[in-house]
Amino acid sequence: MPDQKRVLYWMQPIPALSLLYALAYLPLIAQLAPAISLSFYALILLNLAAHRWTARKPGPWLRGLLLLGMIILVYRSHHSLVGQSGGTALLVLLLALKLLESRTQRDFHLLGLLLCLLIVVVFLFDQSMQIAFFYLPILLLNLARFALPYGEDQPSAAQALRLILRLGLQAFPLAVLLFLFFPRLESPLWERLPVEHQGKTGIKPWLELGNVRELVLDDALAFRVQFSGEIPPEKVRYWRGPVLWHTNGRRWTPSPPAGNEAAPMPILRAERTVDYRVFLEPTGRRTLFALDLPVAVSASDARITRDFQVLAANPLNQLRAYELTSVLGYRTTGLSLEEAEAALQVPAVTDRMKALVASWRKRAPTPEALVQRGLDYFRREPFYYSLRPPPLGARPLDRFLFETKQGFCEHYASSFALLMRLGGVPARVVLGYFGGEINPLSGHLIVRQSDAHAWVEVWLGDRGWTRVDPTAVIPPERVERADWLSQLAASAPRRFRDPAATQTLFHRLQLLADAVDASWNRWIIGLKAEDQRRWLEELGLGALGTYGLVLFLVLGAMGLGGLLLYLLRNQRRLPKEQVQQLYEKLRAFLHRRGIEPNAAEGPLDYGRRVARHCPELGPSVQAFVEHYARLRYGTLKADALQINWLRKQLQEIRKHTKRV
Amino acid sequence: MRRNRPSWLPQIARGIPVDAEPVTLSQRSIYILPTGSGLAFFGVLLVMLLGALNYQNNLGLFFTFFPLSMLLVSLYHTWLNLLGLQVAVQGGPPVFCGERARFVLHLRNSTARAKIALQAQASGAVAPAQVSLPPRSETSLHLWFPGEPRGVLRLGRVRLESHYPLGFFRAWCYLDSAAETLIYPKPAAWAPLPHPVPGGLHQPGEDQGRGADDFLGLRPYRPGDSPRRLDWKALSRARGLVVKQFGGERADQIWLDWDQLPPADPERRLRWLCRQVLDAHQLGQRFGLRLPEQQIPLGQGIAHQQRCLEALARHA
Repeated sequence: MPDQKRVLYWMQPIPALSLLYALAYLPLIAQLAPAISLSFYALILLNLAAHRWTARKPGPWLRGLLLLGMIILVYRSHHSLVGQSGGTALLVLLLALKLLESRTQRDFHLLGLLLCLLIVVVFLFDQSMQIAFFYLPILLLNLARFALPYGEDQPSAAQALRLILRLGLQAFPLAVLLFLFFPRLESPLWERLPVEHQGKTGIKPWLELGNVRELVLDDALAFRVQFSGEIPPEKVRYWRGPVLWHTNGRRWTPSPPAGNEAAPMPILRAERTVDYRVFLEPTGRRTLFALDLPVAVSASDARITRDFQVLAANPLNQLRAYELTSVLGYRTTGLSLEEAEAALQVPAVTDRMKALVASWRKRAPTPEALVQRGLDYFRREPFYYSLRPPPLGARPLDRFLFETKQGFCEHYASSFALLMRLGGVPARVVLGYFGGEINPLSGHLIVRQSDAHAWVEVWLGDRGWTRVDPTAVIPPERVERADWLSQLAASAPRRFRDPAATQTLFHRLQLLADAVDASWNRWIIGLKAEDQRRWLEELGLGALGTYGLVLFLVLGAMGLGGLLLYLLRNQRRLPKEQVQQLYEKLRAFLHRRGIEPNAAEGPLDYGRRVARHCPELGPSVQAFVEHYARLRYGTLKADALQINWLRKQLQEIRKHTKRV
Repeated sequence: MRRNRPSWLPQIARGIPVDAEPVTLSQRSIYILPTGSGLAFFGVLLVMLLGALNYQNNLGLFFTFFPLSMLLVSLYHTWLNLLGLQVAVQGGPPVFCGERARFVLHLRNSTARAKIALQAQASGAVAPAQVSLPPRSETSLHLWFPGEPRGVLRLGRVRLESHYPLGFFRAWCYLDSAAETLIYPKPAAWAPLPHPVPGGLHQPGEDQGRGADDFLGLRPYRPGDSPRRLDWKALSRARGLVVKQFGGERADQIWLDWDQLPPADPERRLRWLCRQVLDAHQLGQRFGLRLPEQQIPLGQGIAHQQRCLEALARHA
């Protein structure tokens, strides 16, 4: 019997499982309450300490007490034991407690299996590529632990890892097949617990001077768009979000007229249709952003409101992919009384503002002309586009319009909408994003938080709601350039962006990472039942539906299984065996030519005997057997080169014999 | 280990008849089922699958399918770990009652893949035996049994199994073997002295007897000769191992007779006879054995001793 091998400390069940659990928990630190994380790691450390020094496990009383404490802690921290974070917190603490009391191989096996479950639970919080690559080694190390308990044949850590990597490689094609063709559910099996999400940024559904500005300095991704045709030009890429109807002079809020969520407003004329798919990062809100003007949305739980917002049924706490159809040219109709009233609501304003609008109205009898007057005012007067406007005090819009004349899109949009309302033109403010950068590597559009924008819609009798962007009339020379903006380089707000910054290597690498991330979102996270249906349709199997997928799965699995079995059963022979095989072939060949093999004879004697019998073969056969003897009994290593030489020599002998 | 094995299976399962000739394990003789931890893994994977499907969590699905695929691939490995193995079974050397008896499984791996952590288990065996075979190699595996009771130990059904590589599947086959190992009676500490062959049994034709009285000459040593008869002087004179031969009267010619033993239960008689056989052999006597239904004629030497002991072991 071999000596008891010294087992590496980290290969023993308790240290190994403690380490794996400690690693697997890391991404949860950002998601769960600090008290939970502290307790979890305290339990892990306690476990390691107990393993190291006492080998004693806490008794049932202490365990019960700990369990009770954990439940109270989870409830106090997350106010729930079953919600996403509450449930996860409870799960991890129970697992840590289980680890603390485990002593049998069976317990350790169970903990290994439950670690796999924990990983999938973490994916409810985050499905990014980084997370996937973080957990892949943890999963493999965890499974490698199952290769360990083989008594006397206990493999080393390296052997166990090699084994698991080999199994992983062999299993990978099957896993990909299952991933691609396993039928996805169109609707959930049971009601999903709401997924929680923290730390959202993004457009808020109200406008207060200053809150778009915060966003504009944030270069985080808002969403990506994959167009099925050509990408529309930048000047029409208005990504529509919340629509704001009500203002108190400082702040704009949605408060839409009653019946707004029923159905979109009728569209009289629609042209230039665009189909695209949006991958929206989690926002924690219901708004889905759409190219102005959305007419159809694919998601079953989303609908288009009367003021053309696209709203999901629930707040978006996970990356969300949805398909949309928009029209770039449109004419809406049918303004209701309530809407007209809401779109003309005016807060208390200063006399200066009233006078300004009254002066415009005198010369501009029609709404169109009034809009033009308003835009001309911003263009003619020394209005500056600045991210750091001076403070505005108690009557902000008045001060902006007549004194500071420095502001950002939110200043222009809110003051313009108010001026239009004063002039009797129904107007509302729309929040969203404008533009976006095209990633040349993948062909999709990147829309960042820094592309956040606010613009105005006015009701013109014969054209319906018409988009007016007062910010756009500020000429480039009146855009404030500041040093602190240049640090933002390519991700600076669009109008402050230095074109040269988009040409740097760093930015190209950013685009590459973005393209990889986009494909991840599209093909890993975003793979849906619709995609699977489309593949089947392209293969002409659309009629089979889910059965087609199952058919694919079964056939594919059988094919892969057969191939794997074939490969496993026909493993390459060892070099020494190949050498022996060649020698046997030579003897069999010469046997057919009349030279009996003799089992007791060594290769050199055999060679001499062959030379006596067939002198013409003598030299080549002798060269063969000498080489064979050196490979087989000598120090010469049987590598591919040597084996190849033997093989060639055998062919020579065969050819030679045929000629003779 | 035995927890999850269906108890009905051994009764209906086909075994492979195996004896000293090697038999190759074919696809049809190998059974495979998940172990307890394999079933638990399937259960956990099912939970993961339902959760990931319900939450439309594709990454969760992949992290379910990947271990699932590894589980399925490991099934192949477990199965291949037995497939193509050549097995032969032999009884071990005879032992005295109370010693440990064994059977020998000869395993030959003529395939190109190693056969790892093979376990052999038979009902009644002391402990399962475990071994690994590198590619193209052979080895022997000993199955140890308690050498009790006296008689013939039959191996019966051996389960050769493997949990390699991850322990989620158990592949096994049943080897049905007729191999047997003899268990001699445990020799008694002392035994009644056997009676020398009475004169009435003297048969002149048989007189090549070598006894204790008259020195006949020297002959070369043969294994089994009593060390007492070695000619030590000859050895010291560097003439090699030679044995003194005596002859003449039949003092060394004895019958070990069941019926002449004091009345006692059969096992006790067998133990006495065993002691007598060992002693007689030790002393280099010519002896015969009479059992109620069997008689072994006079003889001498190690083979004769073994024949007598075998008769004692097999005594019904």
